[in-house]
Amino acid sequence: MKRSHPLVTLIALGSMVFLYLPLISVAIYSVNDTRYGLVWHGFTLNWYVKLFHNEIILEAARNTLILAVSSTLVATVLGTALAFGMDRFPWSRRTNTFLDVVLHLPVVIPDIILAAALVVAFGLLRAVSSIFEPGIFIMILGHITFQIAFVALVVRSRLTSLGRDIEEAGRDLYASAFYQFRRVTLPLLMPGIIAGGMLAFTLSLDDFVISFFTSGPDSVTLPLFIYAAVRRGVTPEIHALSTLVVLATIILVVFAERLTRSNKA
Amino acid sequence: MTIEAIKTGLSIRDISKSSDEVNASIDTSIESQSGVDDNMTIEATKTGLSICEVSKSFGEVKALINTSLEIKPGEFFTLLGPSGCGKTTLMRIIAGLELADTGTVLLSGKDISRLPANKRHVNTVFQSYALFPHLTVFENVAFGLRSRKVHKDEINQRVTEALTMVDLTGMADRLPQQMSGGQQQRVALSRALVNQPEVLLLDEPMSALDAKLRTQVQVELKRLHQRLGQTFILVTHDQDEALVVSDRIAVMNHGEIIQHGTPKEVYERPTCRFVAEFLGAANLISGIRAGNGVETEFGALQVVKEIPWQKGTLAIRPERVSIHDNQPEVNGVKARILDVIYLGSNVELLLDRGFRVRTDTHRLFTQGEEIWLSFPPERLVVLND
Repeated sequence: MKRSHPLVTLIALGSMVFLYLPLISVAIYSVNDTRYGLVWHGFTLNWYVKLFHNEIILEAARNTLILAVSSTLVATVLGTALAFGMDRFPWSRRTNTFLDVVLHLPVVIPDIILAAALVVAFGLLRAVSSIFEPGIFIMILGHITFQIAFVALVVRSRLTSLGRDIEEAGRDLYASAFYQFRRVTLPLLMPGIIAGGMLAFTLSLDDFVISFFTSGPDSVTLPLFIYAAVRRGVTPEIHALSTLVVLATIILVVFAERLTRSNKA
Repeated sequence: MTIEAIKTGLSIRDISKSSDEVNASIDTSIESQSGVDDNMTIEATKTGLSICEVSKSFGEVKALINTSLEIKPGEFFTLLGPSGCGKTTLMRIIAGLELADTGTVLLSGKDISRLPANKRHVNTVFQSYALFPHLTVFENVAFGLRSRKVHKDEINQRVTEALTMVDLTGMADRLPQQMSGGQQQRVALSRALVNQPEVLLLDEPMSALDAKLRTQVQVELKRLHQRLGQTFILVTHDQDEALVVSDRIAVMNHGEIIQHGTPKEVYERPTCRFVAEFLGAANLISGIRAGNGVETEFGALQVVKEIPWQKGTLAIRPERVSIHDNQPEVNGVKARILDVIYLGSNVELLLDRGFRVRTDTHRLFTQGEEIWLSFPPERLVVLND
């Protein structure tokens, strides 16, 4: 292979620094033994200890997890079903194109638009039932709405790459629809489903905009807490918290990536 | 036998009878084969596979047009044709992977047209093999038995037998991707055969193998068929493969069966240009009917068969033309050699007027030499179109 021009290497390195410098500096300040200022005062895990003694933060962490886990579970099931319906039903070509656009729309639409739309929708639904008051329930619904599209996209690409042959072989070998799904389709699809689920989970974990528009007084999540705290001034606890959230996200993304890749062969 | 006769879905019995009459005086070996066919067909209507006037369209495309076929139990039958001729569609309709728009499929006298694939006692070897990548070879082969809740001990026994049959003992715990293409193909074969299907469908099973292995597998497949006595239906576009393995061949084109019969029948007695050209090389001679002969660019030629047209085509295989030093008595034609192609066991002569002749290598031929050919009347095939 041809060696790349030094300028290309330089630009690549520059982009990496540009991408990761903020994250790294947050991580560094989270272990800096000083409350104020930008000067290095020595290593400490004090801020992490304090973090785990802060009731409000723990409450926010709990809310975040409840929100992410429940919305991901529902979105994964629905998204998988949607992917199936889109890929395996013999839609006409025009319907297929239409469905494709509908599926991609939630992915490309700005969060803020979706959030505003959700506020309107829930406002209307509130007239029907008080269950749609701002709070964790409608936050879960809100998250599901944008997660479904991501899950469906990941699962559908896996379905497409699987092809029909293997399922036809199953049917040809006397498998009932249920046996076929349990023994053939689901195991082969699992990496896609897990990857889609993890993507949805990290999206929910990080989400600020949708949560901000749909949360109630008792449903503060970590991103919402950080936002509120930062307005009062950035503290090392926030650095520590941010670092943890980033770490959790990175682990999940790497895991999801590995799953989708290892099973493609 | 005319194309119209096939189109309207005459049963094979009628067709082989009529071809019998025509062939009777010509080729005794073909005659005797057809005679055997005749006796077996009576049974076939009860126990074989009957396809009655089946049609299938995909949107605007007519994949299969009013196709009828009788396949006898224990027969090695081949659907032969170029890609897009409808052979795969017909196979998928037999398997139940596709439902016919109209027409019926009878298996052992029962109508299975509307049964889903998993309710039909028919198994398929897929072109891609379609092995389950997450299951071991053993579990792949056991799949059909497990689906039908066969007892564990019986599964163990039958799977072991099936793997022995295709020479894969000791590979039971491997995953499909750890095996070569040829081995994967044998897994696919034993996965289908372990179910002892009434009909085994083979969808271009040789297409992913290299040429040398392919010939070997063809012979193995034929031997396996003889040992098991099950009905095999092979789908292929490879005419050599079809001639090697089949008891009978149906040649398809544009969603219709053009001709069917034993390999010898379809090769020696093609009914139309398409079959003549698709099954190996053929010299085509167009001419005008003149009494009991045909007036052509080579002069008047005698034929044995009845001529159904005023203006039409004769065909003769390159290896059926005989070569003489002096003018032969019947159907003699003088030709100049344009090129001599040495093929090892024989030579192919490219002659003027686009003619090809194949002969043995005993005599030396030189470019530009003039030779006498004769078209033996019994080898001149009168095509219907």
